[in-house]
Amino acid sequence: MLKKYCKVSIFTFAAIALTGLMIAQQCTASDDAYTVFVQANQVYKSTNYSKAILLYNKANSLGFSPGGLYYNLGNAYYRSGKLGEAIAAYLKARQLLPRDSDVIENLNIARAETIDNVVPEESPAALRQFLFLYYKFSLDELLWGTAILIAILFISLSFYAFLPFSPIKRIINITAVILIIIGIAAGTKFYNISSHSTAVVVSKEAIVRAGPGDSYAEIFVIHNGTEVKILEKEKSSAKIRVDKKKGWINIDDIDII
Amino acid sequence: MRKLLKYILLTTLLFSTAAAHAQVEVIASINKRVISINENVNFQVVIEGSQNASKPTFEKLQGFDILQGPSTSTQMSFVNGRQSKSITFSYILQPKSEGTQTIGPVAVKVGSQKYRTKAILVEVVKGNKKNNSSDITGEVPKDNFFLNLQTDKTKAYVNGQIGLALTLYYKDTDITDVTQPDFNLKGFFVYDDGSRPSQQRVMIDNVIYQSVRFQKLLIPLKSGKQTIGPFYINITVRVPVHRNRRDSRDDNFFGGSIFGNFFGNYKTKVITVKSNPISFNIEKIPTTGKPNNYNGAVGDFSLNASVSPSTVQVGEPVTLTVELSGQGNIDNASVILPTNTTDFRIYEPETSRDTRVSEGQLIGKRTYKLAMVPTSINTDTIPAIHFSYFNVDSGKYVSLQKGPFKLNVKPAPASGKIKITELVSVRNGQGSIRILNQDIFPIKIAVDALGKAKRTTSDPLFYILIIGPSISWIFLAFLAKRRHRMLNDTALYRRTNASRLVKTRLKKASSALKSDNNKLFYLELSDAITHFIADKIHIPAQQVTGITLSKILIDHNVSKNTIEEAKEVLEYCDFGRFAPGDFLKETAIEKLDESEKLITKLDKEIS
Repeated sequence: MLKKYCKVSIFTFAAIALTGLMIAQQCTASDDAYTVFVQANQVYKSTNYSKAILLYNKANSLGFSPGGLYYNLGNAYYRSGKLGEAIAAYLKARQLLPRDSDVIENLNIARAETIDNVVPEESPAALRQFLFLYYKFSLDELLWGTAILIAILFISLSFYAFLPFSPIKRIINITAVILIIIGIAAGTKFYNISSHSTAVVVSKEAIVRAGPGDSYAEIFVIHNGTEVKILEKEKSSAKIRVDKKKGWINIDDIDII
Repeated sequence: MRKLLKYILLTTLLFSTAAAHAQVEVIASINKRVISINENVNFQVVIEGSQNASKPTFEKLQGFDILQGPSTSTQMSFVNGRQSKSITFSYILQPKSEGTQTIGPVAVKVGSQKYRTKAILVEVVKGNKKNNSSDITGEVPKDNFFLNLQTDKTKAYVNGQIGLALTLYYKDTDITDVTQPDFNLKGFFVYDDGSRPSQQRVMIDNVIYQSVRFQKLLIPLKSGKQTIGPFYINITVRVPVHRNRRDSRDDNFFGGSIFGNFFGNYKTKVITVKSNPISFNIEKIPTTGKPNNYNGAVGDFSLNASVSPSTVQVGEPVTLTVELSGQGNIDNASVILPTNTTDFRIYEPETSRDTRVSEGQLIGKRTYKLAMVPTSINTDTIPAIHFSYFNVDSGKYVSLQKGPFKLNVKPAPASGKIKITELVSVRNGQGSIRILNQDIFPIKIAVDALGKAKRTTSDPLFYILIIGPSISWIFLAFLAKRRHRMLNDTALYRRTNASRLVKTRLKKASSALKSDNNKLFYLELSDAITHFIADKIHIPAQQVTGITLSKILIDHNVSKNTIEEAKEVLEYCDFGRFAPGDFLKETAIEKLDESEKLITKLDKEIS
């Protein structure tokens, strides 16, 4: 009887995993998008950066959007002198490749060239070390971690239903604790990314006003490449915070991450 | 043994005394070099290294009387295991006449050795007039203090140096506070070396004054006639006020602080003292004879330069160290350094600067460390370093040159590439990386380095991983729970398995029928019915017989027709088993079919 149940559960998991793999295989990016990406790399190497930007964006729109694409796009923007767009692309690349030193280095180089001497609103290094799961792993990695842990947890629970042995129970407890931690990190990251609260100034100079619209008084001016926090968004303008100052900026002047 | 010890101790003592005598030093000193005829001078003779000294004898004591002394004081201390001792003879001497008087030399006999001190000259001046007015009026006479502004020169060049001294002189005045003058001057850069004002006793027109001297260094920034000062200093003075005790309504018994004048009191007064102004003619640096590479340095400088190493491979850095030092404003002096050429890649120099005021002059040192990377083996010379300055003393331009420097450049190893991005810092060999150039890292081409092309949330596998095991768990948990219940609840177990077991028995009955095993057929068919009913209502199967059947089934709400059918089948089986007659296979098949239908009915009706 017991053996039968085990067989049934193992068979079920095997069937699900196989189906998943088959679907995943079908879901890989189309060859076309990858071809466009390779073409973009070649164009970049021939120093035709504006065309490379077009091709990278095309590959992205065709569904090929790894962190490396945003990084390359950032490089192309940087080489064409579009510092704001480059920083925005590097920030997107950093979301997907948070441990990639090239991305961080290039982002820092681009940041160092901005006109406004504004330190981007980022958590202190100690906090980043402490919350390394949040800062050192991408949302994709955290979601995969969560999914795998959920699978391990339920498989262990299934086994435990028939084989209530203490090692299995220990696995369940450990998995549950790790799942809670990774799950919280994944949830927080998902919320922060989907709230699109960071933006980069892409126009040469952007006027920040006291309210949404040109009729409001000009408070201060920020320049290309400055990173801002978005507090509120309306149709054509967004309320931002930069260097402890707040105001409204035209939405065309910024690229929202 | 004891004798031997005594001998050793004695010898040691003798040697130590001899050593002490060898380090004896006799010093004579006085507390004031300039005194008035009304004042006394303290004269001390200190014998360091011994206390076994005779009373000093004055070989010469011109113009002084010994008012008091000698009083002696001895001192002994042990520092780091070494003993030091001294004896001091103190005298109070009273001047007899004005003029330059001589104390000493003084002779002292230490042990058998005689020591002589140097003679000390003392200036004795006319006694200051006692001014009693302050005691009565509380006013401070103005000639008791004055502020004097002096400069070391009256003519200077733009970017040159002017030494400035602002001195407050005062006498017969009890000053408690002196404010810092404001040296903020238009047209001058005031160099502040952070030094504190100096205090001295000086004699002006045979009158002794106390002085407070503020010194600054000025660097003229524009030409033309410039005036420095007047400067102002606020001084707080304590003026004794004589009080009539009868008029005093002060609560204090003595009419003031017990630390103050016993019968009087003090009042403080802030007085602003003004200095004299000084006019200057700041001259422009002449244009005649001005070298092309001159960039504003004024003073007196020297230039040094060196190259290290002198033999390098192509692509390896050479450090050119240039050192400019001298008197003048080093901030305005800059050396013309080599710039990028086809032969060299030259990086931003590392500079260090050190300026200070020494003997009223601004001196400084500026060091440049330049990393130069030869780009070809044809490079054999580092160009000369030039520097020009205007010398104020001679009124002429001076051009300095160091180099050119010979360099032995060897070809780079075959696999070597020219290092153009980073190299080890040339700073004192500390080994930190010095960034010479900054550029973004290249694009990513390798598929592995790109990261995942699709987002996790758009991957079905992600959902399968979450949903699949959880659904399986729900299903399996249900099964496990059911299994658990069955293991613990026999009634449920029997009820659940009744249908399955009855089917098995009916199958066996059918097989028995096919194999013409009549007895087994009747037995299996009978067992199938009785066991099914017994399992369903959880009673022993033996209790279900043709006699008890009706009662059992009625108790469990089974319809009469069904009960009759069941009885009929059981009777048929009992006849077959216990009173066998002709066996009709067709009837048996019929009964088997009926039994199957009966089981279905019983399954439904038994509650």
